Amino acid sequence: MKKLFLIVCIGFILTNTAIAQIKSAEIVASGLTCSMCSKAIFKSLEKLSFVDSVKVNIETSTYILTLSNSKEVKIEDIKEAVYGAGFAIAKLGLSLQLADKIASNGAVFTNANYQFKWKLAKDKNVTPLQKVWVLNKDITPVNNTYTISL
Amino acid sequence: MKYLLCFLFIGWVITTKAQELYVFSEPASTMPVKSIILKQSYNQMAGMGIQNFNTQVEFSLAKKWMVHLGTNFKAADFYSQYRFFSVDAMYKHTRLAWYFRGIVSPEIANQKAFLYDGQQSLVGSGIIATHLQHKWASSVTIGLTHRKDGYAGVGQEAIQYSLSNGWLLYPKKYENYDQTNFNFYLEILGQKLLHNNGYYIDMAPAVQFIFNSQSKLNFGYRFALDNPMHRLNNKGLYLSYDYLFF
Repeated sequence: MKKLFLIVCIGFILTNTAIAQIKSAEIVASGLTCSMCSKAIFKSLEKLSFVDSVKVNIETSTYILTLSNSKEVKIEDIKEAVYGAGFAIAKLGLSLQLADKIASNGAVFTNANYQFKWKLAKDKNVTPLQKVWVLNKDITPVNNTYTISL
Repeated sequence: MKYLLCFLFIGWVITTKAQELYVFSEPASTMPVKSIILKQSYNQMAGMGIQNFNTQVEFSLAKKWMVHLGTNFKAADFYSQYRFFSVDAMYKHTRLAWYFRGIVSPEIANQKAFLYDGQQSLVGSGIIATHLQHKWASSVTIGLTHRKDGYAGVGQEAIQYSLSNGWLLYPKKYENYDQTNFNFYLEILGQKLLHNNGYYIDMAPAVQFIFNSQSKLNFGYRFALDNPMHRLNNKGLYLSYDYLFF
């Protein structure tokens, strides 16, 4: 019985760990036009321990980050990499693994150790791996919460 | 014909992208944090027969604060810049920075104009304002300089200013970081003595190649538009190469 309880517990933890993930991120950086500036951001993002790979579109200042499954993803480090290179983030998109199938305006949930709050005109269906956009100005959480939309 | 040329020039300018990696001045933007630039420059001043080799290391102490240390193996040059205001938006930014510059030199320049290539000891400080808007980038610097040794009837203070513009001419479209960039710059560099009528206004066109989005090769030529102080070094060639370590 004890063993069964332990297996159920481990299974529960593993399931939740797997759900608590930010799989990838899309950054649109602002304040730059040149490739040297773009490369400075690229190199800063590449150095983040939880970033597996970075793809860039220099013309649109867009960076797609593939994030590690095994390391803790830190949104504040992504922000700091861009701001430390001397620029800002115009848009930040995150691919979140979600447990719920419906997103409701004002609903708060925790994912990857972060608290998120939906801001939507009406309830919407979401996919298990859902792209969301962070709405907070300068990607700074308010009351430890990132407000997101679809 | 003049108007047509002007029109064509403006048309060419607004269809290109802006660059602010000026050759003769600094923009208000600071270096990426945890990066280092090594720079070697060569400056030949006509009239003085002086060839000046300057070796410089540039690094960031914090996100908005960078320092340059340089020497021509006679004088030492210290430059510090702090960016205190930034508004960034897509393909544009407006930035303000404060700078301080100090040169320690064993030499005493025997002329009215303040010289910045290690010929005299001086300190200076001022403000830089840079605005970049996709197809146009402009920067204004204005500062006050105090030199250690005066010159008869001239005093020890001068206002130093510059107006800089830059354009990316190639590539027309970015595809990767290996594309060589070709930039053109046009800068106005001026000085006005505070305790004397003396002043100069120089024009400094320059071209710049950026390799692998990581190193720059600069060629510039500086010449006097107005030179009532009869500077000996009223024109000069400038060549530099720098490499950025991320």
